[in-house]
Amino acid sequence: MKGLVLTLRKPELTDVPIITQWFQDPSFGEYLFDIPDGQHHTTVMSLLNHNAKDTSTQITMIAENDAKEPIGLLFYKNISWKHRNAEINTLIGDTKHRSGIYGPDLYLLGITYAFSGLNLHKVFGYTYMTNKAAMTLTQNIAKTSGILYEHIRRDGVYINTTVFSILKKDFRVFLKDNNNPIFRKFIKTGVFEQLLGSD
Amino acid sequence: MQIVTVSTLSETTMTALFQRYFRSHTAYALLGSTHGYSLSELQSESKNPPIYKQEYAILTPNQNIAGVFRIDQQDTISKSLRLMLDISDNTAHHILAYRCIEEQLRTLRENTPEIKIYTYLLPHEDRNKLLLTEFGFQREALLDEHVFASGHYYDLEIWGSPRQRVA
Repeated sequence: MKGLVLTLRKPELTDVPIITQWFQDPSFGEYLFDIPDGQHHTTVMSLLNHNAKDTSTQITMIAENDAKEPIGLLFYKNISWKHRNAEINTLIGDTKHRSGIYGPDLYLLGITYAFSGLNLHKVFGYTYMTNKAAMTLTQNIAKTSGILYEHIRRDGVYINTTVFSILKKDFRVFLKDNNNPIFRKFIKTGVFEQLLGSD
Repeated sequence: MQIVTVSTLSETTMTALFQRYFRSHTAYALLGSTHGYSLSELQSESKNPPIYKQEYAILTPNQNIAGVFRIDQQDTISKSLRLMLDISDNTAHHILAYRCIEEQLRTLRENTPEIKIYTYLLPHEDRNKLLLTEFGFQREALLDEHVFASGHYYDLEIWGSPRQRVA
């Protein structure tokens, strides 16, 4: 599936070095998973092995740009096929790519694939309130469902975590009603065609 | 009143418990699996147990099931546990459940400082909300259309306890 500038695909063994490098970035541990020192490569291998063998409860995908350069990761966790929902997380690997279009592109691709590829009813997620960039992104697209107080400890302090979610029907309304020029560009790519055309 | 771990229940009581899950419309029953934690699921769990799991049945003096509750690990990074409960609507049963759960929570908090406990409830579980409020829980999030059962999506509430500070 292709978005404005990114394309999603399954991660391969050749991606292990770059993903390991991303996982070693301190901000990855700060905002996503805290991996013990020296365990990054093992964690990546475990993630890819799990992804190859069993995608029933979690799926990992990699996003690359038009030059086939890996840019970020998309995680679906806690997938419930009965309730048709899943937790979504996105990661832009290199710091220099985090302030541009890649973040919103990957996030929109993630939501779109969840609805039109996996046929989910809803996606939800958790954003640490110290992660300002992710907070801005999720608040623009998703609905805030609540705040988990003192949910997680970072640097000796408990921080609050926002719970956000978006239903398929609400995302379709968001796409139809949004007049932001960047979103109109996204729509022109045709990535939402199946979603907007479905019942 | 008697509190016992679910795994030690007699086969007859266990069967009654699963029949109860099948009819129940609580978050405990609907989130566990298709109809609560089935016997095969419990057997599967015993082969590959979660890091932390305690499941208790609350029995009345004549061995009827007043309720059941389960405490397991919420996730590995937030130092939190998940409490799931299914208590019968009978007022006397709720009083029994209150005493049992209070005792377990007190032990947990004494043994695990700064632990946070989450629980998930459907909006109609008013009695359970009252019970949790008594333990200091508050509603922290409302997940809309999160649970699918009997052809409908139901909202799900996340309730959390305050973290206990170490003196």
